[in-house]
Amino acid sequence: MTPARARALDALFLVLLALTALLFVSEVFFIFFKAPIEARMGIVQKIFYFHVPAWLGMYMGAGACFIGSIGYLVRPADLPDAFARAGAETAVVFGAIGLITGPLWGAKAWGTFWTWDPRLTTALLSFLIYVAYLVLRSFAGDGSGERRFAAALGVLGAANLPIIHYSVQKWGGQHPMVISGSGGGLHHPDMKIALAGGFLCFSLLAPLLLWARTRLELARSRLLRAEADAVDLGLDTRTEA
Amino acid sequence: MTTTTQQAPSDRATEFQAVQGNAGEQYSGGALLVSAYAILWIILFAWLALVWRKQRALDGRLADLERVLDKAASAAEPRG
Repeated sequence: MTPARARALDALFLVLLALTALLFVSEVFFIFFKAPIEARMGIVQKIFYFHVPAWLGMYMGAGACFIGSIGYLVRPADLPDAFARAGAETAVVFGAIGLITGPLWGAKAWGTFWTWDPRLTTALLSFLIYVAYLVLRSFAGDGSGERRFAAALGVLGAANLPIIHYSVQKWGGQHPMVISGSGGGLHHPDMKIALAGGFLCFSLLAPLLLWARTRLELARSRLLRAEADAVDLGLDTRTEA
Repeated sequence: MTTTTQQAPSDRATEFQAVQGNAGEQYSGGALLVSAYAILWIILFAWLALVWRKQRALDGRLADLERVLDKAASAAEPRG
């Protein structure tokens, strides 16, 4: 990459980051001061405006892990591997947000923090798959065999994503189904704006975090290669006391 | 005028009993909402701290590599 292109990408990253921060501030303001309080659940329903977008962030991370893993299996290289690893980490972060904020809403709406509802169970399973991916990457080394194994897990882990989505329709359960193809269950226009704002914020934040993590992972791979080259040249790269 | 808030000692509670079944309003919606927001930002900032730590570890290893390369380069320089 040319230095001019690298500088342009840095500038784009910072502009998008500033825009995302601004949108988050506006979104929080809108949710708390403009969006109406839901008639039956009360103020706790406002968790919905970032709980659902957090799952979008999780899907984006998981999708990135899937694409990166496929890419690595087709043509092993640092970039798809770094993208897959960053995707798994993004999926875990946003999955954790979804899995914690959902039960906080459930405590009020259902009277319990957790129930083995099909959507909750499949979502937890998916989260655990990406946690397993990260544990594998952290403890199993960084050889090509480990990378291929992790890529296979990244591909297979994605199989659960459509199951999460369709579990509510196929198996029922308690989880609400407010967003649907027939217009959805948000009747007040400000509720729709709050949700759309949440989607916009998280669909900007997740790729930005993915970008930053991929870049760091690529730098780590380059450093590993440079260290290996130094060792091949007979240089000792260990820290001197 | 008589006060109705003052209780006689005999009217005071002498035992506590657990609620049977669903207790209804067990959790404050406002507290749950604030908790959810706080957790969202705690998770994001914890991740940021983790990324920062990884970056610092990379910086350390890069500094080691540079030091080794500098040492090798100075050893390879012809002595005048």
